[in-house]
Amino acid sequence: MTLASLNGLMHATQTEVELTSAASALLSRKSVILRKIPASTFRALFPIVPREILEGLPVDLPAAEFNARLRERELAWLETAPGAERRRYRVELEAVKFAALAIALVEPRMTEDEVERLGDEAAPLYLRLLAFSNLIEERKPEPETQAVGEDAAA
Amino acid sequence: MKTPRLKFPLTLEIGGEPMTFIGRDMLVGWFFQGFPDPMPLTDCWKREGPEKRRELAVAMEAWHDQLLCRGVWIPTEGSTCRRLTPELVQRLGDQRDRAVRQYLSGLGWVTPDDKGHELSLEPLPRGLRFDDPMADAERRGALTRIPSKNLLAALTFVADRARTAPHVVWRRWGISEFIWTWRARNAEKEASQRAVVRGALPAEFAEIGIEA
Repeated sequence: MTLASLNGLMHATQTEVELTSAASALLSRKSVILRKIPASTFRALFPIVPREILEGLPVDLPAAEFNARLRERELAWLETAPGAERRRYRVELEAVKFAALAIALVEPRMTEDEVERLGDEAAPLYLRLLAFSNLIEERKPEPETQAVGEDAAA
Repeated sequence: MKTPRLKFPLTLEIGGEPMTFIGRDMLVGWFFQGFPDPMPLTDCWKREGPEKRRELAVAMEAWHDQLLCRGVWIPTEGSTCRRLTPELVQRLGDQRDRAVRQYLSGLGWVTPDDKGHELSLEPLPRGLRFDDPMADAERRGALTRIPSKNLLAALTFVADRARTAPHVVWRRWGISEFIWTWRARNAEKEASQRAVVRGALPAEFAEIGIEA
């Protein structure tokens, strides 16, 4: 039996992430430390799905099918929803990224508003956080392939 | 006579390595602090509207986090252990739900017949010290609170079965004792229902080998 220790837990549940050059310039540092977040916390950050999307959607579908059907209905709703409602929903969805990073950043500590100021530079950090927390599958770098088309012909 | 409080290991996979935490029994009133009423997936919950159901499901998730902060311990220096903090619970990441399942299995809430039952049978090292004076104020607050309607009914029922006052169960019993008494009552009820269905003699007779 390996008894857990505080140091061991801290070490195993955080990771250092290198910043893009733009983010590095904004934060005056080369990297940040992120800690894991659980799926339950992550799910709680999402806005309430509008009733119109959920109405009539069977709840007993397998998870993958349910999510696909939900996404389909969400897109259909976005096409027809009043402008203000649509904007509010999309802004709230966008804010999930900033809220998740604000929770996960150990060093430096940042608020949601501060993370938002990173603009598009927050996206790579967000993807890294989701992969580290096992919320998405980490993308492996694609193997180098031979150039095709004009370059190959040249 | 005071029953010794349960202690059991919770083994989680953190960063690809197994790590063992310690789960401990706690007082009934503290266990149910923040418990959503009605509990999600029960018949009462199904009668609520979608928004209320969502609110209760969120409350259940929050309660799971609180439960781990109250009942799961980690060694800090040598053999001294302290409770998990909300941030440490967050750091469990995808193992957090597993920790909840193992904790509830260790207490007997999730039984071997239930889906999700998971219990480590490894012995815990001897000589661990559990020290967390910070929790005293929160625990006092929980123990003086009057529980919600359904919970109060369950508490009164268990107290009646044990021929004691509800406040004794709320403030002095460990939660594993509460769960045990509740389950024993259900087993008794099921046995007597089976007997009625068969048109047989009462369950007490069947227990001593007399059947119709």
